[in-house]
Amino acid sequence: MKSMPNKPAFFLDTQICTGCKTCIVACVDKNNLDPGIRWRRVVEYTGGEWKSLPDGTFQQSVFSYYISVSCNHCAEPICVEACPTTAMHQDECGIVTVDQDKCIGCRYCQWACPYSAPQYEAQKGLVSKCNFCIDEITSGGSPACVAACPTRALAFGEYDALLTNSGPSLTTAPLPDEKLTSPVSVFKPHNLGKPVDSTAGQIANPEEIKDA
Amino acid sequence: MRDHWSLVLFTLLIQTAVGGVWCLQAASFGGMRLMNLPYLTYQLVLIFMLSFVGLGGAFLHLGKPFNSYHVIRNVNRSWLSREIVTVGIFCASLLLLMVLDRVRPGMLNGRILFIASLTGGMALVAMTRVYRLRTVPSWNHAGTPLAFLSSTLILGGLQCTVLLDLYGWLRTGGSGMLTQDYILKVVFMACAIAGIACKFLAAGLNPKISSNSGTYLTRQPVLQAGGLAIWMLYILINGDPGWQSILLILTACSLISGEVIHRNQFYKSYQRVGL
Repeated sequence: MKSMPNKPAFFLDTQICTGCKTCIVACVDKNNLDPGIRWRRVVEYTGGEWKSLPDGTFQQSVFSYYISVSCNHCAEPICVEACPTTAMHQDECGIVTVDQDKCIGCRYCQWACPYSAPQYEAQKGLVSKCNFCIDEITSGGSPACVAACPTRALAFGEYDALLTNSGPSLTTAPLPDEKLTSPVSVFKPHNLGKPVDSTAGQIANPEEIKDA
Repeated sequence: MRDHWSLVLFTLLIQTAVGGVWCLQAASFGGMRLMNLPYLTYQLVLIFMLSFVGLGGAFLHLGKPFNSYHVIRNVNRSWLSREIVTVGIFCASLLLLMVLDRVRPGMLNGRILFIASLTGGMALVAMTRVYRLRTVPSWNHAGTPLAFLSSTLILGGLQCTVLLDLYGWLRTGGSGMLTQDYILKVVFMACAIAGIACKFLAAGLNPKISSNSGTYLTRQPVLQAGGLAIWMLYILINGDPGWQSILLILTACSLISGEVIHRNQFYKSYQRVGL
């Protein structure tokens, strides 16, 4: 049994994430999630165009990159602020979890979260979300998504240590501005990454990331 | 956004009830001695029933309604929690007002009416803050509270006017209206017209968003403009109670449909930043 890391955080290197979605499969398998419930999602952000030049050649500005995202266990979690029952709560380590005995299924947390982290399970009438695989972490393991990532794009560790090792986190579109909820995750941007307010691209797989 | 009809029901009915209390309060501030009016009893019962059904609508929205006793736990942080608390206090003050109207008419009702108006106002503030989420720019603007205020005034004023008209019919058989009823009706109609003015202001503050289009966008102003036109006719045909009542019912149907469509459109306009 290991002690919980202080302020555990996910790290994603978007430069090497291939969008294989093994993290999603591992998460669904580990947590035995119902079909359609995805605590982790992989967003494909794509855009750009081909331009015909006068000399008969073409110039392209096409880009595409993947962002694997689950709950970011934000420092200012809007879901915790919104939840009327305190079912959505943050522990002393910073992990945000749902107490399903208190959840009333009002879905207000789902309205508020800009990362689509809370997932509504219609059959149970309750919201569920990523709990950072607390059981795995406390027994010395890694969250299922991190353990399964074949390219090691996804990692986890203490937030401050991750920042020290990889430099400052820089979120890119289509993720929202960090100032909204102060996510405790570290994103290493793709070299073609667009700024958060960019409209240069679009989400290519909206059906896969929409609210459950 | 799915299954928002229960929220349309909840918000509109509670706002109608708050508007009804505000109309009575406006008449009271205007010097009307409401406590001696037999009409008040019917009005209070109707307002209480509207709030009760509205709260029922809120329960329909929940996935686990039996857990709803937890809903006030986060009152120090969550506006949704505060909304339920203030709506609860509003309903309780209505119940008290209703009981006092029967048991001790004229004793405490004036003060309780003021408390009910105040708690109704607080419920309305909490209701608007619920939708002013910093991650939902399509709702987080000044148009939202103004639209809710306009619905409160329009629906409250309409509901009071229609009930007063109906009560007048039952009492006099449509043979005419008492001066007191006439003054009350003017106050109620003034509240509703103030609401329509707020609606125009709110429409100007709404941001342009992609989902804010389609048939809903055109139906709502057409219905509300139609309602307003019939209402003008209602005022012009002064003296024929039969025609006036028909026109009033048409006005109410048109404006209420406009409000329902507008609120439905409000929920459909939900657009969050991020994913």
